[in-house]
Amino acid sequence: MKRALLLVTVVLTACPPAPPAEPDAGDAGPAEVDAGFATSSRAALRWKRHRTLQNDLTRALELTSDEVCREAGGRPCATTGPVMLVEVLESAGFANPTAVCAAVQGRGTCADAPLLELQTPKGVHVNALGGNEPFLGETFTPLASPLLTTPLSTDRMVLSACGARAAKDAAGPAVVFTEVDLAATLTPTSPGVRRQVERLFQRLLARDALPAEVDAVVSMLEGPGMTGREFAQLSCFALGTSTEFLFQ
Amino acid sequence: MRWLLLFALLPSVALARPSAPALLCQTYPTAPACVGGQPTCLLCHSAPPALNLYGAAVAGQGLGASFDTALPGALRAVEALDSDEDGQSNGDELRRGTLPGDAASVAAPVSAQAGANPSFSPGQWDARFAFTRVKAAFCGVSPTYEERKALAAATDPKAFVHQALDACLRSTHWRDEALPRLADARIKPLGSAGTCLNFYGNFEPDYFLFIWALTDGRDARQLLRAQHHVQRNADGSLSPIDVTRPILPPVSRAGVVCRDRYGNTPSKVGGQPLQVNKRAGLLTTQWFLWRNTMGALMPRGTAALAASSWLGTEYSLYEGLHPVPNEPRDLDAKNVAVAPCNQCHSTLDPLAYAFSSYWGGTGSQRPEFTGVFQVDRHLYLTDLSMAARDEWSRNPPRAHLFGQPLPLDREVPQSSALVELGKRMSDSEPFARTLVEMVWVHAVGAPPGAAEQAEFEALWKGLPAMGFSLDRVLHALVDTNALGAP
Repeated sequence: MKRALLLVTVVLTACPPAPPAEPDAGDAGPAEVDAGFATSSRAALRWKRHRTLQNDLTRALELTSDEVCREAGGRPCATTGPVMLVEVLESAGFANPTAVCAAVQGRGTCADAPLLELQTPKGVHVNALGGNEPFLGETFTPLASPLLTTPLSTDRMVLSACGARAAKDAAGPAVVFTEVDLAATLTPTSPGVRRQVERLFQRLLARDALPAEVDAVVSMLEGPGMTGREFAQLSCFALGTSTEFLFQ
Repeated sequence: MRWLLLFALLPSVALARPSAPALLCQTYPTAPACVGGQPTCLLCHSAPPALNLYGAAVAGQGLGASFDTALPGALRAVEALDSDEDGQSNGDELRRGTLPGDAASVAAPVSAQAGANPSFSPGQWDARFAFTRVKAAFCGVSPTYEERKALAAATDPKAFVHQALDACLRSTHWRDEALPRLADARIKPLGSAGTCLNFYGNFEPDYFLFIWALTDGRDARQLLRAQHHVQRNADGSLSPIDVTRPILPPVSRAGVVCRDRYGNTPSKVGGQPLQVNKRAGLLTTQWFLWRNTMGALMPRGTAALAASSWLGTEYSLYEGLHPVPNEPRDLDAKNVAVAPCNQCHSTLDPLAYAFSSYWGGTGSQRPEFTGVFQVDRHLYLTDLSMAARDEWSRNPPRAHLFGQPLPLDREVPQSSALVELGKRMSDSEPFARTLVEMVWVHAVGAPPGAAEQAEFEALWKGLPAMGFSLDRVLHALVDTNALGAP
């Protein structure tokens, strides 16, 4: 499965636009294939930072922002919102912020609410994904370019979002992965496979796929058996971590 | 100014004549580093005071006691050399805006390779590419498949992109998320000191003023000129509030009554005391002065942050220095008049004088005094010696900006030195350049490169003609190849 996914990545990196000047945050770094396309005149693309990444995944996969990615005990990977009382207490180092919340509110239980109504990035991967947390983290400027951990954070966020969508669709009713049987073991010629890939290109990359690109993604199914749900998650992951998705 | 560091190897000269930046810019007046700004120290230094290859080449031309007269010739003498061996001569690098002493700083060629591309038109302004960047930068989300289809079907794709920009500039993403992030480094909020759990001041009005001044076509100079507060209304809109009323701080948030550690309630802190004619936008908010001035007589940190935020200069990096003769006077006895401190403080201290009549943190007794203007404030600061207070009263220090004198507070009773400073700052080329670079980096993803200097310069120089409207700047930015050419 890993080999198949790598192959998809190789082919997708051959697609336009040209490679970015900044360190790549998404693909596995194989040599690119000359597809004969005219290349960028500037070799300088815009890094899709945490907020656009979150928004794009949310919209393309029809998830709520809470569903995209949570880690480290249920904390969001990267999101935005007002600063909540419990979050401030957590950042101040209280081991049991909920109890402290109740105490400062003079109540029996904590009624968490915005302590600052200004919107702020928050989450365990915000900084690595190019955001900054001014109120809680007191970081006032974002990274100028990706960190070594940025690809890891990106992978985890995209894989989580794709997995969440695949799981929801498998439980039904399907919303995004509607063209394939998510419970069945798929082959390259299974019904709906190519259509599903084409729909994913439209959702994530906002364009129609080239035939060669569809071939590349479908080739994931040439190896050992892969269920529709696995294919859904990994094809989504391949597109969601492509250069084209992550740089603009 | 970063050239000052070159003098570090020639200390006697450095102390006497910090003139290198001006001399360089006289020699290369159209160099990007000299247009609306000054060269960085990295032009001649690898890690100040150590010279880089270019700085060493210049110094090798025999600079010495006649530095001022020798430098232009030395610059010309090494112009044809390629000191950093990156394939571009020193003179070409200076003219293109790259660093002649840094091989990693080269002008990337701008030319599309031959071949077909099914998605974009490399090398020329491309509506699809520009549309994608506009949506991501200003709406916070990439275009959908359907939106791209609509663009492809548009009879005037460029107009379509500009309509999208207009919609984005009205979006909550731009106003509530993207713009505040551009303000963070200028406001420097502290969650640990600005919430109802520990309420020393309210930075929310600073954000509201920043957003207000940079939206709906307003004059961006209001950032440093506004003599009113801005509040957020129940519907989320922003509006200036009656200047005769203090801005009301929150009484409670999240079920927590706002108090500081002394038990003061919001009526005493965060009230943004307003003396209308002493007000200079974000330079005089209660938060800005509390956070940066605190109890200092000489608000050097306040002045340095103002210069960094609005002029794009870091004095600590020897940037933007305009030494004032006979400065620093070192009235607070911090030993800043000795070398090499005086190289920066001869610029910084005269700027800080403008802030010295505004109270910063005032402790538990009079927290509501934070931000208040008081012309004889120096008399109340007990860490200042009696002799120093007398000297300050007898011969009050005069603030300077760009080496030019500002009026004393007592000379402008209906204003203040800081109000005048805000006006001059916001009318200056460095302000325009800094403001435009801020949104350029946000939209394009990187500072303007060597090939983009002409477009960048046209944008910030056009700011006055655009009525200092950031919205109009952004529309002009969208039309550039820097943003729109893949």
